[in-house]
Amino acid sequence: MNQALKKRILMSPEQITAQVGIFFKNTGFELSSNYDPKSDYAFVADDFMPELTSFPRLQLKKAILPQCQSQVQAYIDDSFFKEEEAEKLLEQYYAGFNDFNLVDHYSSQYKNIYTMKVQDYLNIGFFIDTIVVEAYKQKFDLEKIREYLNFAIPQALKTVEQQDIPVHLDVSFSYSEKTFAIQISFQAEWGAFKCDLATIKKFAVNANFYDLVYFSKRKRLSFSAAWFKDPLLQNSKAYFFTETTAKMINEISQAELEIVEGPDQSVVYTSQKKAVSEQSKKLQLALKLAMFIKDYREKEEAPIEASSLQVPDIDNYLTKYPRQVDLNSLDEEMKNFITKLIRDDGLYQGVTEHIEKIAQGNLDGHVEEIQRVLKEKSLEDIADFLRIKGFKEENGDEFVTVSGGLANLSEEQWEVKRSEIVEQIKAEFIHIKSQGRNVVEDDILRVISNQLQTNPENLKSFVEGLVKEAVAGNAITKEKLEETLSRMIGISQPSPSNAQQELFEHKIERMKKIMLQMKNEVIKLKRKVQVLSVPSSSDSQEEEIQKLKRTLEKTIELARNEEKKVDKLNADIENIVQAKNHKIALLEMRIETIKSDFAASAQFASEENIEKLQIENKSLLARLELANRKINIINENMNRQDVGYDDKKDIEIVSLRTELENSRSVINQMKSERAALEGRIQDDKPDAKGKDNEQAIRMTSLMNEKKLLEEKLREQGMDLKKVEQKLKYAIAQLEEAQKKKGPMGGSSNKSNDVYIKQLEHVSNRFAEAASDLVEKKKELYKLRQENVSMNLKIAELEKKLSNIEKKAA
Amino acid sequence: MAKGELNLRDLEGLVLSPGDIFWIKNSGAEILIAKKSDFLNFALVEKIANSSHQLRMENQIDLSIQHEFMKMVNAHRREVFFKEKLQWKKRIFDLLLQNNLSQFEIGQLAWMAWSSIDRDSVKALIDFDIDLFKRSLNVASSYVFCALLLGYYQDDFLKALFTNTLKELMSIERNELLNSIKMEMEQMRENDTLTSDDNNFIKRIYPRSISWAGERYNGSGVNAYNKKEMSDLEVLLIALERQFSYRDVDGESIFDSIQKGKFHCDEKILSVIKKGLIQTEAALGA
Repeated sequence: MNQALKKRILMSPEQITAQVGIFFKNTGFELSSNYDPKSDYAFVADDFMPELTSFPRLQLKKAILPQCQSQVQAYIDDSFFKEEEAEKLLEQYYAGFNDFNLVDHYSSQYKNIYTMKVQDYLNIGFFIDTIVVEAYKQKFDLEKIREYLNFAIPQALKTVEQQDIPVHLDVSFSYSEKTFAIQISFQAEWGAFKCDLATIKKFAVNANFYDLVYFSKRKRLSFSAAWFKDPLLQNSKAYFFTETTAKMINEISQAELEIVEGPDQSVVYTSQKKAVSEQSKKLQLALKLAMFIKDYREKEEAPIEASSLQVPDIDNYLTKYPRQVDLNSLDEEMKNFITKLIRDDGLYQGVTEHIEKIAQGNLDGHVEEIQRVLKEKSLEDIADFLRIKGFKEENGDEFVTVSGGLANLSEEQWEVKRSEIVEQIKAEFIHIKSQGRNVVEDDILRVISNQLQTNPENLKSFVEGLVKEAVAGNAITKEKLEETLSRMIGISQPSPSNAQQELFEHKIERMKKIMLQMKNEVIKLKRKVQVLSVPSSSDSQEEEIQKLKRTLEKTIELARNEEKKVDKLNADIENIVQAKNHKIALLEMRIETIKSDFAASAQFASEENIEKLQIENKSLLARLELANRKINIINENMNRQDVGYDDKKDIEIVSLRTELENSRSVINQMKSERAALEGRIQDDKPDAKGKDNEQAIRMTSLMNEKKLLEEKLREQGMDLKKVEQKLKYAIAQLEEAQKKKGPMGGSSNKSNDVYIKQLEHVSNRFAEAASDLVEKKKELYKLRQENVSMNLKIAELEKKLSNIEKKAA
Repeated sequence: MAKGELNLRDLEGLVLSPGDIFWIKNSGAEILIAKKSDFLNFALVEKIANSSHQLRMENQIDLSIQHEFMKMVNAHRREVFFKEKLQWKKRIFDLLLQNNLSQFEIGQLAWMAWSSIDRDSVKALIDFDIDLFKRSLNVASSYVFCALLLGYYQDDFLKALFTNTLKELMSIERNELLNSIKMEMEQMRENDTLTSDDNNFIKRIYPRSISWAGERYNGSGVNAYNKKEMSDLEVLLIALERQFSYRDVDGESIFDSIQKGKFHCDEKILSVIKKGLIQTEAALGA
């Protein structure tokens, strides 16, 4: 229950008249300095009446008495009552009751609300950065926000991880102009998250406002934090534990409390359900470990037989368990129980079924009953209780216990009851048999439900076991009962002769049941009507007055809030209007200054312009003169260049001629050499047979000469190419010079014509030389071919010579 | 409409037939083997196609989108960093909005991407009631896409979300005439507050699990949760349950409804979803 809903606070008289008291009064709380044992209080302020230990405390001072420290559920420092922004947040927090959501509150109608889902460890940095960047953009203290997130998100993830559920944090944030809010919520079992005061202080250390809420119904934990932009509120602090605050302090929930009045009229809380959940947890862990060992044993090559397993063997297996943290809570009793689970399949199945039912959450009557019974029993007893029927005990007798148990009976009572039921069934069987019809399921269920006064639906699982016991006593033949049982569990169809009769009986039974139900409902309704019509008029009037009072209070609160809002709006509007007026005045001033500046500048504008134009004119004239001078210089240079250029060209042409003559002489030399070579070859041919050694020497010398010639030829070719390129370059330059000189170079026209003619002549000769060169190349090629053929002939001759030598040998 | 050639690859992974599929016999006779939005017996279609018989399809949805969509979903799935995942998410919604898909197409795409129900099981679900299946598919597919918009990005989670929702919605106990159940649910859909009769009805038809159809934000539902106690996904599921009709299962797509302001949900959640869609729209306009 939300403490704020109680609307009563115990405070010292000084505090009631102080700013704090006024705030709570305005928020709709009833403040009192006198303790009334019949009243329920939302809070006791600070260490007022330290003897009261049953109420949560709201800390407003920096330090309170140590004995009251453990009761503190909320802390608010005085800056929250001084600054408007902080006070507004507190007001909304207390007025909003269960519906207050910090992030929604600052979202400005959900326009700047952001959500992100943390589903793995890898991307936490990205999410934190996203939030911090947004805070930076809005100019909030990003260091504090980052510190908070760096602490809160890993804590949340650690909590989730402990529970073995998939990682899933719901993070949302929003902001207004003055406040930034972040909320983190996730699934959490009570106890998975350490909610002591020290931890909560750690969370709140980097935030101005921190609220921790646990929704026990949904097993959901949510922590919200807020930061103010106002420099005056940078060190302000407030934190709250909402909804399950009693749990946090006393480690037990309101729902699970049994209130016991002590001798000094103080209230003492005791936990009822803790032992139950502890045992179930133990069972769950034992089952998990047993499952692991069973799986492991299946993979083992030669496992020890299940029946001879001992605790040390279990220890040995558990060393291979991947999550060693789970083993911390393992004691000898648990280990023994795990050994039993592995040995006994019936027990294993029974525990599995029980745990599955708890895990599914849809606890039926049986499971609730087991839960209730378990808390008083050791694991040893639980083993007997949860073992499923159909599995043989060590003594060889078939042990029939049904998962789920029955009613609130001791074992002795149950044995008595059980034998009674068996006797009843026997008698009923005989009675039904005497009527000439078979026993049907409903008959058995009816008998047992009458005996136990419980719902027949819950008894179906019992019936089979009980009937078996009846058969064991030979009250009825097994064949008949087997037929009945099979019919009971719906395996075979009834014989056609009995089917109609059974159907009819079944219908009658159903109708009877319906009638009974209807009777019960009528009785219930009658009672209700009586209850509704009876209440005293004074009570109802009082209630109505109370209701009216509450509604009036609420409306007054609303009206006050509205009034405040309107006042705030008015003030805001006035401020805005003032600011606008100020702005208008500033703008008008600016216009005036601009106007005056313009008027002043207009007077001198024409004189200044004329002066400027004159200066520009002068500079332009100077530039023009400079340009003319430059043109004259360029013309002179051109003429000079032309004269020098012609001289250069003459020299080049002379050099080209000499080069051409050289090349010719080289060609002539080559021709003569070639003729000499040919002559030699022809001379060498007839003497080839007889003079082998000489031939070889000659051949090598010939080859060397040939190589030399080839090299020379290459060099000549290169020279020729160079000359050719130079010529081309010279021609191109001449052409360019002609073009340039075209209009103005009249004096040099004649010499140009001569040059051109000379050049043409040179080029013709060059062409001739080139054609000669081509012919020479062709001849060289022929010579090469002849050389090749000669080489072949020489090779043949060498072969013949060697043959002749062999013959001679 | 002229009948088009059928590419077997286009039908892989679909649960309902994307168009009217005809088997053209050698004699020229045409046999309709699957009507649009009927159960797609892929094994049969594959068998006919592989035995060199001609198959044709008409009145079909755009089948090219699914390949593109699956490429993007797989890229989103493979990506490790959330920043990159965001890029793929944006592309997915670009594709969905650009092509103005119907709810039927959205359902098919969600099925392809996030279903882990095998063909035999889905056949059983469709045989139970095809209209109920289509309606459940509408809810589950919208649910998974909205979850993606809300920021849930882990593929296993989305798969579990889609599959579990579809199975839970279909887990109605048929102890009354199905039509009367649907009529009752349709009437209940309109109510902001549920009565104890409504709650009893829900408990009766969903005996194994409680459908979120039987919940309301104001605590009047079966579990009597209020909005503050719920996660955003639970609030979203309640809204989607109320959004999709039991009568008209081929209604407007969820994205159209959101854009036209016809989808009523918690303002905060709706604002986040809209923000995601608007960003995509802005990118499309750019």
